[in-house]
Amino acid sequence: MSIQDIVKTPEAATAPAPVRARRVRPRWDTALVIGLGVAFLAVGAATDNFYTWGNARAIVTSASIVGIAALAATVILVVGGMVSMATASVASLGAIVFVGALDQGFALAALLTFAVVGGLYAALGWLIGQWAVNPIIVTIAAASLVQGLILATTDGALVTTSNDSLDWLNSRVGGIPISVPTFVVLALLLHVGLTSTTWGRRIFMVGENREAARVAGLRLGRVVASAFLVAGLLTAVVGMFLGAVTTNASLEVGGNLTFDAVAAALVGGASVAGGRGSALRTLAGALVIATVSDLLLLRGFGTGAQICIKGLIVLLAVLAVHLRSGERRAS
Amino acid sequence: MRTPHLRLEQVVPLVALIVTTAVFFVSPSVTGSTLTSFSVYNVLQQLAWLAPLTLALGVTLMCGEFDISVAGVAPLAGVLAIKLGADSVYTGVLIALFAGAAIGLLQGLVISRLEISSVPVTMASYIALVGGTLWVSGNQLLSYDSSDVALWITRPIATFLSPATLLGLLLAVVVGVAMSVTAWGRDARAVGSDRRAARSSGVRVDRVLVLSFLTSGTLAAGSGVLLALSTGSANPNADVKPLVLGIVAALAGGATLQGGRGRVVWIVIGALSICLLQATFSVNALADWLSQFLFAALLLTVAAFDAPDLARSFSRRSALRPAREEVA
Repeated sequence: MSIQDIVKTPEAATAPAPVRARRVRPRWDTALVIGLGVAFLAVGAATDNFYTWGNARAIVTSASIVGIAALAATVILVVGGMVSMATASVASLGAIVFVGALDQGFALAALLTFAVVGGLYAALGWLIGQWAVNPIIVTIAAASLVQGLILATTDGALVTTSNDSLDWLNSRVGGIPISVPTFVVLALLLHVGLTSTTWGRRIFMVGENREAARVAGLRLGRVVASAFLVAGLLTAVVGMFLGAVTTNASLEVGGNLTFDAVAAALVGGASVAGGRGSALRTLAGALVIATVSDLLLLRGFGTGAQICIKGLIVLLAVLAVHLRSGERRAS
Repeated sequence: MRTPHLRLEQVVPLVALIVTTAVFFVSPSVTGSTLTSFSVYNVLQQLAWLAPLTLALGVTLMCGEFDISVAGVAPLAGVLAIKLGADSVYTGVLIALFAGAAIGLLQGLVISRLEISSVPVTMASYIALVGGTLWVSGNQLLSYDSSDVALWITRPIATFLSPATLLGLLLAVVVGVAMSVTAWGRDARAVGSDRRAARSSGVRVDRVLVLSFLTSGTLAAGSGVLLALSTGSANPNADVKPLVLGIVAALAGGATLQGGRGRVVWIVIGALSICLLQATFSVNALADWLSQFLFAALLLTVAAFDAPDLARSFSRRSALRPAREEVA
């Protein structure tokens, strides 16, 4: 459903839709993706230990935490908030709040993490939605603010805990860390939220055309804030897992999450122009990146090569999605 | 008679420069720290690499584009200059600059031909370049065998300057002159403010974009090379910090993320303001958290100034006020 469907008059709604001839285009991009996939699987077959259960577990495990951050990036991309430059800092904040508050009990620590990270993101979303504040600048400001806050409270030291109630975040189900099913469940929930609820439709409407959404009577501040709130809650989950994996937390625990999260969402076909993106495709994007990194690792490539090729995959995905959509910028 | 007035793209950098200069020179007397000629020299040393980096962002911001990859090109250029400059410094520097130009050219061609947004493209290249730099350097900090180059390029000239500062400013002057002598500067701003209008009035949009990205890549490489030569070493670990400083400096220099605004001189002044601000933090030994807060406050102020709907909501409110009074 688009904005036009909502604002158009009943007469227009009942009029027969003009039939537009669909231009048949050679799907070179589909062929390219299949070709690359086959080549990739062939290289995998020629690599020792690639097709093993242990390796599959390693891939899904490494995709899971980045993947949850990528789900947050997807919501932000869809609503037209471009990219959050604060993901790594905010996830670190989540980890620190969670680990630091764990002595008050797991439930309270989790609640506090959700409140702090979700609240911060919702505030950013409100600024972006209500006043059209530039998302890149305001999230850089938020990152700076969060880093200052962390330095002021922890003095740059590690926040540790001896409380073992976070152990279940590290627990395994059938040998798979619990972060993996969490990622899948969150992706499914977000998919349902984005595709089958009024909330999801509003998010897409604002992302597709902000002015039209405003004309249609949507409260932009609230809609964008709600999208960022969801992104914040997802980032809080990321922070909790990061804190649990290392049982301590610092400013550095977020690592390269900022760009890794967006990378997976872009490989999944989300667009920085807004209004396009899918939780399930982001799940696939995170898996693709993790699988390629894993194969490179098994073939003896170093970190540099892995990151470089990840960048090239993102570039390829961005170009393919752009060409496939046939979308040209208003120019 | 028309009263001369400054435009917003000049007011912002002027105010930024006046405030940061005042704070830089006055704050030490408040905190009890001392300001020496070396402090001023340090500000200009930082300007040597920040000015080209800010301008790299600035020339694309003018066209309404955003080149995130500058933060990846700069460290790669630094690593290339050191790694390939073992025998001859010039060879290393030339290859590094050429690599930056080639990356910029390629991105410019992709972005202009495919009419694709520059944010995802340059973000992907940034990731690839971060990895590429680690790959090329073998994940190691590289340095020259001797410190001759570093000593030469940082030697004080007229107390406050150095060859590094002069070279950094020379890059800016070349771009500034090229933009004002030719139609490039005017066309870039036209492309940035309304691409369709620019195209229909005869501006070769593709050419302007390619030229701007080519310049951006070269300037970013220049920035990386100057930093590497000044320290005699290159750190392959790319960091977002220089990108953040560059963005803030470009915005303080009157450029905006919407495009269509910005002049080379003012952008360099914006870079100078940020160098002064950074130096104020270090001269006064300000706690890291405090400088982060001040930085965040500065960014939020800039973001608020830049927000179209904030201005709109204010003008709407003031437009409504007399009407309400009439009703009453």
